[in-house]
Amino acid sequence: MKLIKLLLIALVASASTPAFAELNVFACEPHWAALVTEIGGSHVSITTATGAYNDPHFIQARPSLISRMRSADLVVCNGADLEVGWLPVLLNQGDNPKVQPGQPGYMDASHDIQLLQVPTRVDRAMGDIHPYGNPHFQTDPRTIGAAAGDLAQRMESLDPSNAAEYQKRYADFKTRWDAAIQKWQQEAAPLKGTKLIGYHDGWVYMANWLGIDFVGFLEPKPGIPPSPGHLADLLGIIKSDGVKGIVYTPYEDEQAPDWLAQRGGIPKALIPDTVGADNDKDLFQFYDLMINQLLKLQGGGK
Amino acid sequence: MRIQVFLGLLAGLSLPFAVHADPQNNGNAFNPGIGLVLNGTWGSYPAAAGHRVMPGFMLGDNTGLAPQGFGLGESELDLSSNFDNLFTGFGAISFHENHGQDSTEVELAYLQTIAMPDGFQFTAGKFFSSFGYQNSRHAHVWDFVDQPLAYEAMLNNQYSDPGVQLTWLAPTDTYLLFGAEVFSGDSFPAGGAAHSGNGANTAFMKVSDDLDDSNTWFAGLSYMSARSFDRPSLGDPDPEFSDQSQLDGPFFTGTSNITGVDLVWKWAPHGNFYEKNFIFQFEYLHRNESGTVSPTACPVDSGPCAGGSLYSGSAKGWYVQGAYQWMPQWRFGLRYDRMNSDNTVTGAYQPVQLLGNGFVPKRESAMLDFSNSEFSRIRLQFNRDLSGPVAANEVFLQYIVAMGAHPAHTF
Repeated sequence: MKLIKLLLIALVASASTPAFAELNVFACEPHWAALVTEIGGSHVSITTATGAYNDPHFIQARPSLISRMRSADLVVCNGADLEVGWLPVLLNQGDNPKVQPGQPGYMDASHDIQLLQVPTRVDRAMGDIHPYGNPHFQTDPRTIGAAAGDLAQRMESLDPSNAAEYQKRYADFKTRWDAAIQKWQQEAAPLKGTKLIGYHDGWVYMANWLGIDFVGFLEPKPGIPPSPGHLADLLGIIKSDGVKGIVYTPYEDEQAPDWLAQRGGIPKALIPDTVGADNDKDLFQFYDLMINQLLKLQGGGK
Repeated sequence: MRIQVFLGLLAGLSLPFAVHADPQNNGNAFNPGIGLVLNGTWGSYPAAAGHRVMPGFMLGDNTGLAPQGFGLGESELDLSSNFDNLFTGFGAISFHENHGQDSTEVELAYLQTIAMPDGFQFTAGKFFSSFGYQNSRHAHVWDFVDQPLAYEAMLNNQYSDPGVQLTWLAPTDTYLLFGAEVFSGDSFPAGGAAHSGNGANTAFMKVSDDLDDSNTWFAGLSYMSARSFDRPSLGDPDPEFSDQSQLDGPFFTGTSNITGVDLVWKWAPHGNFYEKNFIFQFEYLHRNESGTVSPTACPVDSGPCAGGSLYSGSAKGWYVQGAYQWMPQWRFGLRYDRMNSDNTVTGAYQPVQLLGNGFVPKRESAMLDFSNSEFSRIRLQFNRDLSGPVAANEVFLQYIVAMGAHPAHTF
């Protein structure tokens, strides 16, 4: 038994000996790619599975991603079943022992976060719900900060030759990040108590962070597209609750938000839920964009 | 915890179950899962369609359409779990109902390595062969109710058998997979060869890449060599439909070599599959068969037996299909099937199945489906079936629903 274990360790070690100091990172979502870049600088090579323009629940398990999974040293994902429709196939067929769940090379960031909306009951009649809680936590920048330390530690242990630099860059990022969060909170202060309608129920962390109140969603149930009857109900809520605006992401069809905004006489705002939809090149610019779009709904912003 | 939830759901109760989810246990999301897929059909077509007759082709026993009216289709109970840090596994028990007879069968039961180094992966048990593109796809993810004619005629709809598979994924950015399989050889196009331990082998290569963030292509090249000893080749032996005079034969002894080429293209603007997508799929199968055919099973494995004839045949089959999801939930699909055969039978026994030279079996299909969620789909399909001597119009209504754990879909 011991011999087998030793043999396996030797095999795995021989397969993972880096020829040059570069960490191959597989990021499920762009915000993790951006965070890895903050900490890793030029020592990392990153593949990103999803983009700001596609729904992270529903991408295809593309074979090119299987190939990237095979050569990855570290996989970073939101977790909490957000990627359950495709990540298990990539992990299985990518067949890379270093990044299987439970290994240091597999980071499920939801472990670093206190998830919200953990259902007390689970029934698919409730729609495509997530039994572990709402996985769209990156709409609150504090969750990125909470995961950054974990990520830095993993990068340091997986690539010890650059550990000192990762540590330094992480410390620098953390300082800038905490300051930025303060800045965003000040800018967003007028948003407190604002009532909004979202497309998919993916904004609870942002709402919780900024004190925004989401009073309804275009999807009648998570994963079920808007229906005329449900939109009519929302129209009633807009009138009765004083809703200030409608929020949707670049991967959601704008027809229904358009219709509702027009009929309800309120503005709509395209708010990406991850980095890279617009000219935002990094995490800082992404949240700048988010806050600005929200303020526009109130007649503010740039 | 998760198991209890799924068992509860399996018990058929629609009551919600309390879950004390612990965010620290998210790794369990990939652990034991039990799922039930119900795949029911209603069909309207001439009664004779139940027993497929395709001039020029000897057929396996899993061909032809289900009986008219309501049917259970390919309903199955799936189990999947990691066994430990080295092995994962999958089991599927399928339910069939045919003329009032209920039956269950082990559709899949295999284990697979998850920690072999250098891109190697080993699979053992009963599994769908990775030959071609369509073969390894489960019935509930097919874009049409039925398999392409080439699969029905050459692979008995879908080839699965006990065996082993070894694949190697090349360390390249472009997806490049090589694999080989060794099967016992009890399933058509092999048959009766299991007593010698090995009756079918395959080798395959698959390559794929993304053109941009909206387009992905996938291509494959496959080869299968199957040996048969007294393989029943009459087709579905259902007495309600079959011609009594053909019940005994033909029996085939010899080899079938099949080469397959497949090409798949998937398009979705910015890879956002949920809103809109198009899937194009093409496969071409070429088969060479040689051996003997006889009206009764022969007792020994040597040459043509009494009353048998020498047979050699070459057959081609291809299909092309497209499925377009123009808005969330709704898809529309078209498919065209075409086959041909060239057989030479030397001897007194001339099985009627092989007397099809010059006949070109073909079929046109159209489907429309609606998916309320990722867990339910309803489909309407129409076939103009010209695969046999009598043209048939076939209408299908199908539902596919999945409860409990549901393994993620492959590309």
